[in-house]
Amino acid sequence: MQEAAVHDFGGDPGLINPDVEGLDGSFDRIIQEIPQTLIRAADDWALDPAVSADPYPLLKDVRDRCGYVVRGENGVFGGVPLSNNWGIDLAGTPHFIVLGVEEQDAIVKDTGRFRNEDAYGALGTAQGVAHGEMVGTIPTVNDGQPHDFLRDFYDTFLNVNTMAVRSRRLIGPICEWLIERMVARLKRGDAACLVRDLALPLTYKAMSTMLGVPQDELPTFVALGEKLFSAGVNVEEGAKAGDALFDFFYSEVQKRKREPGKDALTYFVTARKDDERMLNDAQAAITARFILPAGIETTWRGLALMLLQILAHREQYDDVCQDPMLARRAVEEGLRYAPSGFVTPRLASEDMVVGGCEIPEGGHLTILQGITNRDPRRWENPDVFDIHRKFKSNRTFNTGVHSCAGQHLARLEMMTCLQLFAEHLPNLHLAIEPERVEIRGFQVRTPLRIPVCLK
Amino acid sequence: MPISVEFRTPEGESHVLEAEPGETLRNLAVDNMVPGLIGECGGTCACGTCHVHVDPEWIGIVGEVEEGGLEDGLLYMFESKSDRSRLGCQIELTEDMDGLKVDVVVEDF
Ligand code: HEM
Ligand code: FES
Repeated sequence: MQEAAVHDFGGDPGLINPDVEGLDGSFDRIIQEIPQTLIRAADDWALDPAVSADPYPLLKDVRDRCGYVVRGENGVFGGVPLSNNWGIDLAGTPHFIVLGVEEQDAIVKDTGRFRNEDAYGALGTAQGVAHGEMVGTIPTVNDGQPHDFLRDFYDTFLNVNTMAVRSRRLIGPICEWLIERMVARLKRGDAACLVRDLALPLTYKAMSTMLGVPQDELPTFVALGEKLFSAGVNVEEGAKAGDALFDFFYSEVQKRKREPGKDALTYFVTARKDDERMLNDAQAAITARFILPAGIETTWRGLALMLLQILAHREQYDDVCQDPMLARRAVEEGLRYAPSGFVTPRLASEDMVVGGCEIPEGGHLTILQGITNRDPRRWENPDVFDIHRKFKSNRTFNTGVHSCAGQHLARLEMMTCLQLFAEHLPNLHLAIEPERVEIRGFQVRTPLRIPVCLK
Repeated sequence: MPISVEFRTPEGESHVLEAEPGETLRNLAVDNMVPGLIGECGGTCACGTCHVHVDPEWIGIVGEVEEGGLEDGLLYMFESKSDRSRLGCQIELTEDMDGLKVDVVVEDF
């Protein structure tokens, strides 16, 4: 087969720059048909209901009683039972949670002794598997050179400059269309919800367009995303969806080799280092599939949670409407105060002491960035949402060599959306009391419904 | 060809360093322990602790911050922002920056 000419994507944003298609009735139908099961937390079923509903007060109490690194007994930490997201052997593996920023930083910067490999357990391994075989891998479950190689590959297409361009070209128009649709619905007297009518469709559409999913396949893509995300509830269905998504991307990869486009998939099959393709076909399909859990499910939830918080603090929303340059402040405070991705694991490869706690070799740590983001040693009044606070960077995307490769994209999506809200929707309000919005889950926090209205 | 870059600290110290084009101003400063330039987030445009004021003679070559972008939004959080403000992690050194001078901006974090 004739392969496409080699592109040097370098930092040139023009080369992954697809046009947005299908902003019409077909997108409206897709939105109406979003399965309700996609709007849920993947691990709610495995959680103590009190933890799922609001982990903050319970875990802050554990921190205040037990310290910033806490050893668990059979998945219970200072009296609070947490879900075993990575499927670790709780009886045979000493396990810990990390609740402070200093401790988090010390751990993730010591990449020699705190490893990613095997830390994500079954969940990490599954990302590289298709049809029962290991056919690829992701940066999150690798350390050292294999990680750095993959990371270079991701950084090239997700870097801050290329993302800025894509944000204007891609996220802006989709967001404007969704805002118009929401306003039309509200004016007709229909309900509008920031999850179903904004955050979820915006993220799915933007990311699938960037990847190069043909837009008439968007409903299939959303449906498979839903099954993949529900793998915890239905393992078999989840694995089947994983295989189907792999096949879908594998066949798109073959098409891009014949006929390159302006999308990320084309970059996946043409990126080269030392005159060799960086990813083979299977690895390219694995990479595209990984964007679903890593980049889509996290981002729509993060966006919705940030919008919920800023609207719940009305005067701060008004401030952003007055001065849209405050959007970055609001996004950072939203990320700090109410992150979607709540946890990050590591595995200790030597005996050591962190935060006064002895961690033996083989010990498993789950960093709770949702809680480290409220470390009282770093932030004054950490439990208050205040976009005007003295800014200090948060840990929602973690830090160090594994820090989120897609953070610029996620931030830009959130910033663009909030700035467009400020411009077009200064009269938007929550339609219910913020306390009545149900947020569920531990691994990735999920707001179930955020009804809004115009006043 | 290595180039030369001068960092001036608020205390009035001058640190003249040799750099390879291609590396970022933030990495150059952090690797050489220039006081005050912390670069906490590792260069991901997330913390603001690599803030510099580019010397007026050099801002044309380095380039002003892009209006409304992520870097601009982050710099906007700091009172010390000026029209010569840049984040060191967003400046990739090039050969035509030989002789570049920047002032390190220290925020009270
Ligand atoms: C609000 C949205 C997001 C959150 C909360 C989030 C969170 C995270 C976190 C905490 C990590 C670090 C994991 C570790 O240290 O082991 C990570 C890594 C990663 N994320 Fe994100 N992420 C988000 C959006 C995205 C997007 C939009 C993409 C891509 C399109 C993405 C791609 C990645 C990749 C490739 C890694 C692996 C980095 C590495 O191991 O070097 N993420 N993310
Ligand atoms: S090093 Fe953090 S913003 Fe530059």
